Amino acid sequence: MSDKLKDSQEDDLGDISFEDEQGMEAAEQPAEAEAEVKPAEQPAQVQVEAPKPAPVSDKPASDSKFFAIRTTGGQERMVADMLYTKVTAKKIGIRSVMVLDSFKGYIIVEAPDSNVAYEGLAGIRHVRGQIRGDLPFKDIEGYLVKKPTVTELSIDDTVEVIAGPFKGMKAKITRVDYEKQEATVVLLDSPYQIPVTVDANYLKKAPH
Amino acid sequence: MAKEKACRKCKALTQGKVCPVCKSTDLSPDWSGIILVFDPAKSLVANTLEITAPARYALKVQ
Repeated sequence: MSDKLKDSQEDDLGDISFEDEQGMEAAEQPAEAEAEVKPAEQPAQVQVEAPKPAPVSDKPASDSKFFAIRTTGGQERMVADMLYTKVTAKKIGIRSVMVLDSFKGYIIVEAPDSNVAYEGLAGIRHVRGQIRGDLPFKDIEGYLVKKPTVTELSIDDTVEVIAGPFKGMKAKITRVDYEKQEATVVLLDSPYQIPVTVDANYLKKAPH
Repeated sequence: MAKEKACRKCKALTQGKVCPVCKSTDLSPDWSGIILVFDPAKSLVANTLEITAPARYALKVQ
């Protein structure tokens, strides 16, 4: 209800077609949501640690929206902590909150609609405002699903060291420890062939 | 305030010595990013990260 109100306020043109789309979405979503939930729950009853991931990712099953909330710089964690206390105490409908290091001065709030998000944030210190509209999930997904760098590395690859004391040097991989996420490399820029073991996250594949 | 640690298995944050979610004792002080999950059943983020329990989680644990 509030969604429609908000949407109709934002979108002045093409009310009829927009309403139709909304109607279709509303009709489709419950069926999708049920189809999503059932397969995930059934294996959970049989076996707790199912090796296969839940059928998730591509299609958003829920009606969640993401809102970028502007905070005082450096106070993102403080805001998140206060929000955590408030939401758990008052049972506000916020579903999750993200504080990303690469997203300074903002936190991302996941809620079914903007009113719920703003209700949760009302009265919290260091909240400076919000970006109008919601963020598409695709933009956020990239921050969440992180393939470990070590999986991309293999022996004899030429890599560039991007952090640590050997930053900026090129190296060749001689050994990869996938469990510890480490790689032993020989520095190409050095006059001596010294094997050095470095964190795999400090390495970046060099273009050939 | 004591520095929080992240569980290496499930990434949950805790100030204690045991993970509140999976009860593991393999904790790391080196983590980044925070995700607060309140409603894992309906949350897209929790679904993507395969989080099933409401708690505070780290995004990356080293």
